Amino acid sequence: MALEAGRAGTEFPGEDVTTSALPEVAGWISIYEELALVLRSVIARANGSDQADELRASLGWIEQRLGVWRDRHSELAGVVIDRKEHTLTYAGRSLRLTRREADLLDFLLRHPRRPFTSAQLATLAWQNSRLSDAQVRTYIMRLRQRLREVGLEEIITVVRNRGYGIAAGHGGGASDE
Amino acid sequence: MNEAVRTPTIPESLISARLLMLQSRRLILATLERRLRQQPVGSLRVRVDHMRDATASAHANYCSSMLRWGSSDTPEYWPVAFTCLITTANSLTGKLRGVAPDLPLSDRYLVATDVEVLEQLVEQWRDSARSSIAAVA
Repeated sequence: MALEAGRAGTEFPGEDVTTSALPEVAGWISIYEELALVLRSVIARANGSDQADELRASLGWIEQRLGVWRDRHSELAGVVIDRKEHTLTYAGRSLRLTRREADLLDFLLRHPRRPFTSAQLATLAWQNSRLSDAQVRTYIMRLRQRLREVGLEEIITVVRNRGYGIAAGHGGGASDE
Repeated sequence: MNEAVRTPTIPESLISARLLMLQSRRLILATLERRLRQQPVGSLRVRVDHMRDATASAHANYCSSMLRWGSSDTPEYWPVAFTCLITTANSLTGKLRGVAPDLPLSDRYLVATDVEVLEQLVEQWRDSARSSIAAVA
């Protein structure tokens, strides 16, 4: 099977890239995530069996596609984050962020349609499970204040009792769940 | 001579309970559908629709418990695992096919490639599911 990698280039000449497909791409991402989750669970139990290698190859392809669609989702949302330089570009304006702020926003944008608790964000976005809920809350509050400078103050939403997510207007939808 | 009977673990009991629930709902659904064919009345149709939803939910519960607690050494595990993969991949393929008409052409090309590979994966998983079902039988 041809498990092709990579994005097939940029837009075609004269093509209009403005699209209403943002929620659709977010929907695909959440199903790809579900598929990857099921595959990981099956592979964890299949270790040593004949099926495991084949399933691992499928998981590799699915994870690669997830990466492609997450990047595309960020592009369509118009928010570009350079994680090396910790800069954010939106609507022609740039903002310098701290490493933690850039990692957090990048993580939320790449996982639309899902709210994350403070503990999940600490572990998944920063790989630091020792941060307390209050510390995460402070980081989010500061980040939201910084994002006001480029008109993105509403991009991070708070979903009652479920955590933080990306607003529907930016391709998320965590608040609708 | 007394043979030692192994007590089922909690996960095994949960999986069995959910399987029984699924089987009983399937039986009720089959009975209701047969009655509806003989007597096509509105009230019966509503009950059939309701039981169809209840059966689907029982099936999802059984599958999720099998994926979570089932052992891959048991023959029942693989048909459930592959069916779950096929269902999720089919749902994704369905969504990808309904691609937005205003999606840029380059994205549509990406989507078409995804659909093609997903269909190959589903076909591969179907073969594996068939072999695992044959092993159970």
